[in-house]
Amino acid sequence: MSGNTSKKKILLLSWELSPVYAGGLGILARDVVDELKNQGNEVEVLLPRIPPRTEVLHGFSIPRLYNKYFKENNTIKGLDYNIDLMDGKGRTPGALWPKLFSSAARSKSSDLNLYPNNLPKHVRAYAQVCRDYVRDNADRFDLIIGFDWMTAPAFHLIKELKLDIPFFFHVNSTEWDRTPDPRRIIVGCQYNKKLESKYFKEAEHVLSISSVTKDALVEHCGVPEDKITVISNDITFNPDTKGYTDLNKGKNVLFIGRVDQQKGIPFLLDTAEKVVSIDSQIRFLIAGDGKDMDITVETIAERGLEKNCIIIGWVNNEQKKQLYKSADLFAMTSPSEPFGLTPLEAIMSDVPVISSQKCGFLDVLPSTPTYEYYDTNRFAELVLHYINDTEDRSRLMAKQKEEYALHSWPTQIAKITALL
Amino acid sequence: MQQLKPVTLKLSVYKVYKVASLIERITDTDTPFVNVRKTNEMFKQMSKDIYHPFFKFLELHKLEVNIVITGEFLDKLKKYAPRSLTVLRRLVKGGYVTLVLDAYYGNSLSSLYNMSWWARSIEKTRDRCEEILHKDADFVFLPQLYRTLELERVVHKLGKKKFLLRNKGKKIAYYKTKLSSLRRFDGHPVSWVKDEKDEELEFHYIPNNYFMMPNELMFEKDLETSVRAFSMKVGWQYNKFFLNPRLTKNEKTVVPRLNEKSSLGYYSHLQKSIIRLWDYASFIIASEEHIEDQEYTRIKTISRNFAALQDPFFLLYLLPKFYNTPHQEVKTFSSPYEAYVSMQACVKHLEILLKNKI
Repeated sequence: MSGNTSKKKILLLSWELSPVYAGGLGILARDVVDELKNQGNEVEVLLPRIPPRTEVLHGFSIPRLYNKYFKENNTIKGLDYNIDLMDGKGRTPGALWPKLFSSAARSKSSDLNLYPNNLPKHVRAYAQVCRDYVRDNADRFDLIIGFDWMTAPAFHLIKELKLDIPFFFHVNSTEWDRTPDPRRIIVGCQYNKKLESKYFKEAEHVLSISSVTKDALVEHCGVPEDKITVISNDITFNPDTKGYTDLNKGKNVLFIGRVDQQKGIPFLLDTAEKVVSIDSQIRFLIAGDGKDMDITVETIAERGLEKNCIIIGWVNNEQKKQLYKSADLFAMTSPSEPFGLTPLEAIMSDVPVISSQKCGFLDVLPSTPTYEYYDTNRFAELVLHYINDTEDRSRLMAKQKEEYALHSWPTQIAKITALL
Repeated sequence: MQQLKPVTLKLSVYKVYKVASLIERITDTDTPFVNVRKTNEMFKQMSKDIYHPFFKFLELHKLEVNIVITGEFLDKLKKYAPRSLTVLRRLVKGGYVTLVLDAYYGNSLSSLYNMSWWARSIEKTRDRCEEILHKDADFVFLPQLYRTLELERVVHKLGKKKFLLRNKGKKIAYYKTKLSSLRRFDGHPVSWVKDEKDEELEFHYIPNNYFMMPNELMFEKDLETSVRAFSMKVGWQYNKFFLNPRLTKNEKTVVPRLNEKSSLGYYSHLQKSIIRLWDYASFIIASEEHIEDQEYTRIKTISRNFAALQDPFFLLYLLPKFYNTPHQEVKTFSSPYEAYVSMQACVKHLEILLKNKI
């Protein structure tokens, strides 16, 4: 790799690109594309599908080819394990109940299901489309970047073309981050793990969004450490100027995220129980929806936390911004979080953050008070301290803002082209 | 003097709740707790499809039943279903119906946590019975009997000495005692029930198989057939009772084991939690009632609206098994958890309104 800084022509392969997204990947891909463009590079993003009447800046799909391969349902030579394992069978059914306030959530979200049950079939069709496109346009690109495991089969097919274009993986999260609990054996996840550990290490280079993900790549996927570059994540976020005055800012601890085990909800409720037994004025606002909503509600009821743990449910972007402004402390509770964008949004909204130890954003905000995700005594202690000690809370806020100001997204993105 | 019959029906207004998150409620403070327009529409439909044919069935076959009735139900019957009211009046006049007073909005569970509210609600229903049905009721519905329940509030003030309770067993049971021997405070007889104020009280326990709620029919797939089946079940239960000499000879006299305090042991975790929230809400409303002038009027309105929420029927929405039945469109909520979170949002919104002095 020469470290050549001239402008590059880059092809990005991504399953999501805002406004077509279901989670953090679409936002990350958008930020990467925008910054690469800002730095004068030529960027194209090949997406599997784009919903009708949706314009995706710099993104395109090839529906005719995609549909052809989707119908043909070809197997991919060399992927020597059953790629159909996720086709509905053996997969946990997820939430058996409809989403909370589902009518509101449904009307405001994209009408395209990006992760259907037959996802492997889509991944296979997408891989073949990527191969054909790269083969026909080989001379146009200096670099190909694939986001996450969904582009691994595409990498496999492109590699067979034996072209002289480097391929980087940009890893937003690994399967070990998404399903950290080994007791939760989901066939699809096992398949993803195999895919990640087989192909990530074969790429020319791997870009990781945090040191947490880097550790997972080294430990579980066998990627050599010197082959990984950490591109710390960032966000484009315009905070609101005011919050919900009715929520009586003063003792509100905010959680925003998917309500499921991966986000550490059981530990949040354990902590809430301890905190409330000491200070009954503290409120935990839980915003989001997820497959563990039923267990969460049952736990709140069972432990008598109904007055203090308030389920907000799914919130849209504007509501989320105002919620930040109504909070006094933001809690990041995930046992393992590849990066975590919400703490950065909280900081930008002037809300200090406390966090479990294994979160990627801590690379950017190292002064964040942390605890082992299972240590609810320490978590409770931090909540009580920062809620009641307003001076210390302000100091923490100032420090975190200061650290965040040092974080430069252009510098991070410049690392990618510097690798060439 | 009215006598208690075996078959007991509970008539209350089926409420359509407004599903909204806390954020939606605080953004639009006029978001109602109960969707009044839909509730009224539903009542009209239910009067036509359920209550009217059922009352006519009772009249035709001269069946005798107890009706646990709420004041709100009578008000709505008068306003939206005068034909059904006429039939009900005839049934009451003919002695086919024994009226049992429930709290005005059906909020009888408030007797577990706010007895003055409960007693006021009973009084309101009594007034409605006298005004609309031209008849007072001897019986009062009790969701639970326990020794710290301040029965004096209805015994002395309203002169009610007979109570009806729903029981888990299969037999109708009967319990008679003096108020002085029932009431306890901190484990001891209370000093304020003096001899001249002491009254003999009767408690009638109606088992679940004799206790029926026509409102549940709304969730059945084929409403017309269901109403017919329900009517026939009432007739069958009635006849079964009178054909069995063991049952008609005497109501079984029992001496129940009474708890010192109310118990939520019968309820699921979600239900207990919601009852605790209602308790909390009634507490915060009561703590703000001293506020004067315009604010006071607004609090009164909120209190009234909130009382309407405390319908034991809501507790059905918190049972997962309730969602197995068809007729989904009638159900307000899509899951027990949505019902729970909506009610939590209502109570927290109420708290916010009161703390911010509205």
